[in-house]
Amino acid sequence: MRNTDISGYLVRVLFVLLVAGIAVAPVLGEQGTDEESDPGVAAPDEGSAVIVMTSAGPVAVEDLVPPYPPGWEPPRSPAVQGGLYPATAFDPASNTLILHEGWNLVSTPLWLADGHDTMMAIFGGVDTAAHSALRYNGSSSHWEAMGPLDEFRPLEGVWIYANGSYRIPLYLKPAQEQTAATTHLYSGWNVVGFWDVHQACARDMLLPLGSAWATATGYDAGVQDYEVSMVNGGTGSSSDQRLMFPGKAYWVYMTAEEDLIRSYYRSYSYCAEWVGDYHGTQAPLAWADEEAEGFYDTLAGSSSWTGRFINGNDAAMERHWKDPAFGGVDSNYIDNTHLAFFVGHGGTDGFVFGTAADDYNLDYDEARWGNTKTDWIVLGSCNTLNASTCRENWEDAFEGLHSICGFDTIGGTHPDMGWYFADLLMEGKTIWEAWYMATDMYVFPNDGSLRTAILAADIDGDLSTPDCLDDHIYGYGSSINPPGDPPNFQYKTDSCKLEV
Amino acid sequence: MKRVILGFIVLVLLVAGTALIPAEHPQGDEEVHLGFEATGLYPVQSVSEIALGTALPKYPGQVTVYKTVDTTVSKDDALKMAEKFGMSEPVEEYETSYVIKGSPYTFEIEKETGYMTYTWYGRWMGSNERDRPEYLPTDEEARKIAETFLTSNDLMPDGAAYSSISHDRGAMLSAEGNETVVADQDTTVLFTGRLSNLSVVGNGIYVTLGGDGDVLRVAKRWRDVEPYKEFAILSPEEAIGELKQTGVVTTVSSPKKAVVDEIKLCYYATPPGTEQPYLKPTYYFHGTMEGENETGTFYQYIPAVPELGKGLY
Repeated sequence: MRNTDISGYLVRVLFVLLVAGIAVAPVLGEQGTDEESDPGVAAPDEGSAVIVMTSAGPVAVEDLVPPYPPGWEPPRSPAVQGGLYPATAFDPASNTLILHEGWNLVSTPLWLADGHDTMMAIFGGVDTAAHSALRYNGSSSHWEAMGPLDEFRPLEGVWIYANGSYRIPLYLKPAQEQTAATTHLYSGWNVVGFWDVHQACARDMLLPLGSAWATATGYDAGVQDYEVSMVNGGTGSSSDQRLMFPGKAYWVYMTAEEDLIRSYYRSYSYCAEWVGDYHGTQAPLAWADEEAEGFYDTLAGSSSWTGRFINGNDAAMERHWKDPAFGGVDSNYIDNTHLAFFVGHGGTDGFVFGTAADDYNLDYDEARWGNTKTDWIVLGSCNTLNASTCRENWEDAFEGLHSICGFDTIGGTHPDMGWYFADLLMEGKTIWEAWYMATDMYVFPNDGSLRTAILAADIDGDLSTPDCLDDHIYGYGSSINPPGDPPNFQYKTDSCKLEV
Repeated sequence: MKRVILGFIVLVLLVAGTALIPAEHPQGDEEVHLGFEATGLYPVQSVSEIALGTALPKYPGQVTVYKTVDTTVSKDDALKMAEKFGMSEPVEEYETSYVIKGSPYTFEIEKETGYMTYTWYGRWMGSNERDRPEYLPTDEEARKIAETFLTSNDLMPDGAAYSSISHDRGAMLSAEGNETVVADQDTTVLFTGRLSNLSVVGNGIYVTLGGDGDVLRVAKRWRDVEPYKEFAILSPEEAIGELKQTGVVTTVSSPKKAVVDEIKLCYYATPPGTEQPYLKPTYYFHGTMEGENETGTFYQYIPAVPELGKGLY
């Protein structure tokens, strides 16, 4: 009898060790991956010079000035180099290309309709003051004049001189005729047109190039000079999380040849994690499972969205939400999806898991979301977006992230809240609308003081434009891509009203 | 033989237990009513000391329990309700709702729950200059505007009474410094239902007002009911005893002492569409909480009809 007990004990010990080993392995593996060096670009440290490893040897990034088109002259007034928001080149509301007086470096955001896709069809009415429209051949490193019948193709950039301002309507192919676009980039300088009618940060736009791209530089037609370059892995003003804009083209310096492929149709992914059983470390949370599963299963009905995983209780782990820089593996989990949903306990410092496989709390300063993929996070956790702390606590987590929804105060779970939230998203409500409508309906009982909240990246500092506050999920309305380090945030609360 | 006797005893106990179930007990909802249900609110915590900071109210020994009535909304119902808002645009039918889009308001009503909203999305969602805090009506003005709007449009539900006012805000938060600019604010006036002279928490209609008192949104969530029968209820003293066992909802960590400053008997209604066969009288407690290192508030709802179990709904 005693022998049996001991062997049972040993089996349990071995099992625990096995589980612990499995649990730790991904973390160790991820850390190992991070330590691999990037052969093309020496990632810049804060405050140190950025070095680009070229075939000719190391070159400081500040020496990488793109070529100017033949005939270009410096602006008469001292140039103020373009910053985050250069002169607009494209109006997505009317699909209009905007030319400013002087040189413009432009592109078409998508494929143009047949008969409306040649240089003549588009720029035939532009007074170019006898300048030719130019493109740059990255293979031969030479400028080429474009002919009237040359096609204006996506992902390609065109230099055109305008002797005045112009607004040129672009006739895009209908959605069902849009296909992927491809361009081959050579080592050295290339001109790349921005793909899509909505802005995106350089990191995301150039993601298919991996580490082969070193710098990207736009031309600000408003000030007639180059903008500050965006550097692959750069920070501060050189951050690759700065925005690229539709209608513009960019000089891209490549350290190796690579194809840039952008597809029109994309599939979007989401995930959910929930914790109801805290093993006594916290009070059990009723309905966490049903709320998360309701959300997950309902959004699965969308043809645009694919559920990647849903984990509950001990399978939901802090490491899945923590950035690799802090020992987490979020780039393989929640940050590898566009929309992540969590239900569990929380507070102003973060949110709480039920397993000791990692530490119990995901602290706000361990989160860097959107540096892989995530655009939206929804936290069904109390106080995670407390009005007095959320900006300071969560601002560093915005690395491409658009918004976080959560609670300013105590929150609540309900079996119907998750599916109702997903259903509203699929009806075309904005993420904020869907969240506060769901919480308005299902956070009860309360004393009238409970509030839901959103912290959303603000792009332009203009209070009259809602920016990411107005985001819909992909496929159900518009959204806007923020830079990786948003200059400001918009914060809104909504009382869970129908009580007391 | 021992097993036979043991089995017989178990059988007798089962039969006796079944016979002892009160005849008045609603059949078929044991799962809903028996035992205190976790409510899904995150921080229910126990507290060692609960003191009274207010006089105990007096309530009758018996109070009516109401039975919920499921109602579904037809297209005609949606059109009639929209007419009260002066909307006559065509109705769009979705899987779960009817929507009427006008300018600037959108009317929406859910088929199964009757949850209804009337919203000026352009103002309500964005940060409009017209809704800056200085342009808002005072709370007193807001209450009058809301009441007038609902009554003049025949939208005030029977028995609804003013309940509370709340404010929500939108702000711009600078990432560089600590500057906060309040971009917009709104005022929401809530009216809740009443039954047997008690308020019905959860049955409500609210009007949200922006700058110049413009109506930005009206929303109504209402559970229809019919009288069921009278039941004996807990006294306030007994309810406090239950409160001590149940714990309270608070974010104060390590709560030590709760002081009750409000006790009231009400009905608790969950959203239509959720399972709730009866509206039961319920005690609402609210007060202040002292914790080890902080103070705050707490609240809790304690079902008042022991015969119907300890579930809130």
